[in-house]
Amino acid sequence: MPREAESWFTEVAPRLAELAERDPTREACGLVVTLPSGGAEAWPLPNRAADPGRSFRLGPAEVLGALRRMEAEGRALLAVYHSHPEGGADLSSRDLAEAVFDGEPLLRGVQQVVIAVDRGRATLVRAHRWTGHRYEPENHWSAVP
Amino acid sequence: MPVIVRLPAPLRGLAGNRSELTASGATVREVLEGLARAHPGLGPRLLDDRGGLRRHLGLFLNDEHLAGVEALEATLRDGDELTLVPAIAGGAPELDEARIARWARQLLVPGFGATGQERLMASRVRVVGAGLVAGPALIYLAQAGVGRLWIDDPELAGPGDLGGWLLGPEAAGRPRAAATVAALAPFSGFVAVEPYPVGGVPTATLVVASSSAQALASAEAARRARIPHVVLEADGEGGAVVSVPVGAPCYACARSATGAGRPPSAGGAALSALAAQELLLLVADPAATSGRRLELVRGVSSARPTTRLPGCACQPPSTPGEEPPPGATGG
Repeated sequence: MPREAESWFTEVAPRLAELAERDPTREACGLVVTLPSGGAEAWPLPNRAADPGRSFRLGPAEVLGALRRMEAEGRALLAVYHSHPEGGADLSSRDLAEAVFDGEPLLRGVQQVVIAVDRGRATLVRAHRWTGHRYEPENHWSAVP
Repeated sequence: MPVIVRLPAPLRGLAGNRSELTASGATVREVLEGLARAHPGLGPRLLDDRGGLRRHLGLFLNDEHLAGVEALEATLRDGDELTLVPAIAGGAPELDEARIARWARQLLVPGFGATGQERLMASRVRVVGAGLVAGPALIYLAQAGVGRLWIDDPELAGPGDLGGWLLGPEAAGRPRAAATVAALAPFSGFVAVEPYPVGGVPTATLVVASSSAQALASAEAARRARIPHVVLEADGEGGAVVSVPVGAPCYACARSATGAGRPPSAGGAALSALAAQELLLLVADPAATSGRRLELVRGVSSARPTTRLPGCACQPPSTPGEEPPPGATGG
């Protein structure tokens, strides 16, 4: 695992847990992007899904705006994140159906991060990296030491 | 009609790492078809086999989002800018292959299906009372695939709890809740079983209380919290099961008028299973369930709709603006 991958994840995971707990009944979602000074930060975006308690969808205009801002500020997209209220930190079959197209990741070089929320508390944050054939758990952060 | 096509960073690898392409076409469709021919790696991501726009893709024409079936037929002018954006979405766990295999039979039941199973998977079921009679119901609930099973019983397991469907001799003297969690482990590969309280609000409650007073109190607490619940009344080898969806006549309206029944015996397992089935229906298809009382007498079951007793606190206000009766609203 590249060291920078470990580094950004460790830095951002507690923040992602906090974002998922703000409204634990809805799937939180957004992007993780590099900082110009190094490191990374989370960009939370609204969940535009029709059933935000069980799905997430980033609004196309908001994705476009985020991508343009990244370009303008010289940042890179590291990961897409979302939470699973009352669910685990693994990518679900629905997540994979949206993130993988024809055996290839929709977003090359971008990790998928899932936050497990249990009774209002984010308990586990897990990053998944494309390994050539599928997404596999890359790194995780747990609320319980 | 030459237009500029802008690609986001994650898609550039499919088009020679270029952020901007020039393409021609009178409509968006023609431009995308041209791109597909010029960049074979990008092509399959744009249009599907029937010529429709891939759901993984978003399109903007001069910063205006193109949506719907007409998006591809939008006409273009010289110098227009078409921007491709990846659609980013996903969802909570659904039925994967292992779960489909596990629950294949009940998935086939008309009116239950995948939607009902997903509701069960997302549910948190509190079971009040984990004594002898509750054993079969607990096993059914775990095997049916409820998401979380919360065992609410502060008592220790005594001789009367053992030798049934669930608790064996090793449970003697242990807290019933902890012993039940351990005993359910082999049945609950997809289910989290925990002692209650756990700090969350249940989706539904099954009351298998050891006394009428406890049954009444637990059912009333569930009603006030607007939690659908099922109450089991054991009576020898039979008894009754009262199903109370939100807003239905409460358990106090529908309970046995003769008070506590005979101590449960081995045949009570059928009643317990019936109670679990009622609760599963409440969770899996709440819109299709109404309040009812099922009687099980000498192995024969019968059902009747429950009715509200005059003046009961569970009566909802009938006139807009009317003050609800005391206790009619939950907290």
